[in-house]
Amino acid sequence: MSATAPARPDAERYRQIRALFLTAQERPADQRLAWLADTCPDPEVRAEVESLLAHVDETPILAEDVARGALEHEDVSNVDPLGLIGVTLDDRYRVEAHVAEGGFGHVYRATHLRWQRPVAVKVFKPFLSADDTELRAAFIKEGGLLTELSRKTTAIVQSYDIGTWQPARGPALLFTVLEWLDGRPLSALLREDAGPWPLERVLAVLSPVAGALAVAHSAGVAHRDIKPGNIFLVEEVGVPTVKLLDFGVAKVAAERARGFQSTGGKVTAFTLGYAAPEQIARSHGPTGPWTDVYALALVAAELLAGRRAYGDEVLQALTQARDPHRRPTPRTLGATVSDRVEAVFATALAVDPAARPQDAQRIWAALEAALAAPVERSEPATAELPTAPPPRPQRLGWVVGALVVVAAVVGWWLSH
Amino acid sequence: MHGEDVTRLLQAATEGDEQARSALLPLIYDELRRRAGSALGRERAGHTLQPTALVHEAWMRLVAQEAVTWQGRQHFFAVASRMMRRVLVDHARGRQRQKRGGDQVRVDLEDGLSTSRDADVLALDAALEQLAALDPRQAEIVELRFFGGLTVLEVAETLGISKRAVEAEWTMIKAWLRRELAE
Repeated sequence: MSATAPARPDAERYRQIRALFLTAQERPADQRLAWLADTCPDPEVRAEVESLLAHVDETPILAEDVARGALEHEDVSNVDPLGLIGVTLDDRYRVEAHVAEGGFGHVYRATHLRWQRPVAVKVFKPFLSADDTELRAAFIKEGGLLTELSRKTTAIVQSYDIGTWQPARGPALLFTVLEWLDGRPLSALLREDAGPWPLERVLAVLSPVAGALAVAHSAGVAHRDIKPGNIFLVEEVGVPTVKLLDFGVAKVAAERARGFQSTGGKVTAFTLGYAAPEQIARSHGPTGPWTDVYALALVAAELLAGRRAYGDEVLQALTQARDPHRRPTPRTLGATVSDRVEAVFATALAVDPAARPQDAQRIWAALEAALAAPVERSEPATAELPTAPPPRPQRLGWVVGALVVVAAVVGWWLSH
Repeated sequence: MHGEDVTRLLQAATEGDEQARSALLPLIYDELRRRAGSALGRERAGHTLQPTALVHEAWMRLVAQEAVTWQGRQHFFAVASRMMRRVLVDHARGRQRQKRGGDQVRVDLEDGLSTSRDADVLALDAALEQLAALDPRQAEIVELRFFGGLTVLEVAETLGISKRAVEAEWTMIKAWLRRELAE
C-alpha cells in the first residue's frame, strides 16, 4: 500500500509517530517541540510528528458539527468563498468581509454606500441559483413576506432588500440584505454562563423570541430551526435586545417552490439537538408552528436546568424523541418549577405535534398563566437580560444555522 | 425489506454470525442509496441532505429498536457509516464518468482547513484508504464520525475505548487529514 509513496511512513513507522504525537499532545504546547527533539532521535520520524503537530487545529471538522448542532464559524474573515470581497452589489452594497457560513449561504459584511452604514449580506449558495426561475419567483415572494414580517417586530433580524448577483462564471446568486448586528448568539453566552437560570431571566430572553414567533405563526410562517445559535443577543449600550436569526428565506422559498409545504414531513434543514419528533421521523406528520413550540420549550427547559437535554448524543436524541414517556421537561432535566409550569412544558414537549399548543402565542400565554400560580424557587429572581460577564463584542455579527456540512455536496448534486 | 429482517440480521450479527453480517451490508447500502437517490433526483433545489442524518433515519426506519441490544445498535452504525461512505463515493465516481474533467462533488471541510476549504469526496476517500493501511482504527473513527455522525462518546463506546482516547486520536486524525487534503 505504501510502496507508491516511499516518503510516506509505513504502518510501523506510523505507530511510532502516533505514540510520539499523542504523548506530545499531553504536554504544554510550548514544550512539545523541545520534548520531541529530546525524545526522538530519528529525524524523519521527528519531522513527521512536527508536521502533524503543526496541523493540529481544534476547530471541528465535518460531521462533528452536525452532531454538535451549533456551527459557528467565527473569525473566517480572510476567506472569501464566493469571491465577493470588493464587489459592489446592486450599485450600493460594497462587500467587505466574509463572516459566516451556513447550510444555505454565506454571510458577508458590507457597507451600504448611500447610508454609509454596515449591513449583512447573505448570499445563497449556487445550488439555490437565481437561474431557477421557479425558485427565484418563490424567493422574491418569500423575501417580501419576510421583510414584511420583520417590519412587524424588531425581534426578527430586519430584512432590507433582496437581489441577484451574476459572478464572472457560474450561476447567478440570490442575496438578501439584512440588518447588521453586534453581539453574540445565546449559544456563545451559554458557554460562559450555562445556568441554571432563574425563570425570570429565561422569560426575559425568550419572550422576544416567542413574540417574534407569534407574529410569524400568525402569518403562516414557521421558523423550524429554533436553537440558542439562532437567538442573537445584541450588545448595545444600555439597551440589550434579542433578535431571532435565520428565518430562512431560502428554506421557505425552496420548499414553497417545490410544493413541500403542504406535504410536510420532508427532512429539511434542522439541528438534531433541538429537532422536534416530526423533524426526525415523518410518521409524526408535517412540521409547522408546533415545531417551533417544541424547540422553544426545549431551549427554555435547558436554560432552567442549566444543561443540554440531548447534548451531543444524537442517538439518544433520536431515540428519546420518539418515547412519549420521556419528555425533556424542566423537572426531567433537574430544574425546580411549579406543577403548573411543568405541565405547560409537558404539553409543549409532547411527541405528538397535535397534543402541543399549536403556536407560540398559545404556549406563551399558557406559560404566563401558569406563572400566576405560586412558584417554588430556590434562586433570587432577576428580571434583567443576561449581561454577559466581560462584554466581548464580536466582529461576527451573524451566526447562521448549522448544517454547513454536506450542504455543499448536495448543493452540487442538486444543481446538476 | 422489512424492519424485522434487519433487526433479526443485527441480532445474528452481534452473536457472531458472519453471514448475517455480510447480508446486512447490501440491505443497508440499498436503503441509503435509494433514499439519497430519490431525495437528490427529485428535488433539485432547496433540499439539504445530510449523510449523517440519512444514516440515523435509516436506523429509525429499518430497525425495530426495542428488540436490538446496545451492541446491535453499534453494529448497525458501524455498517451504515461504511455504506454511507460508499454511497457518496459511488455517486461521485458516477458523476465523474458522466462528465470527464467536469465539476467535482465537494464536501465542506469547514474553515479551519486553510489551503483547501473544500476537498472532494474522492480525495477524502483516497486519504482514508491510506489511513486504513497505516492505522485501521483511526480510519474507522473517521468513518463513524464523518459518515455515521457519531459523537466522540458514541465512537468510544462502539470501539470499546475511553472517550479521552478517542479525543486524542481524533486530534491526530484531523491534523493528518488536514495535511493530506491540503497537499
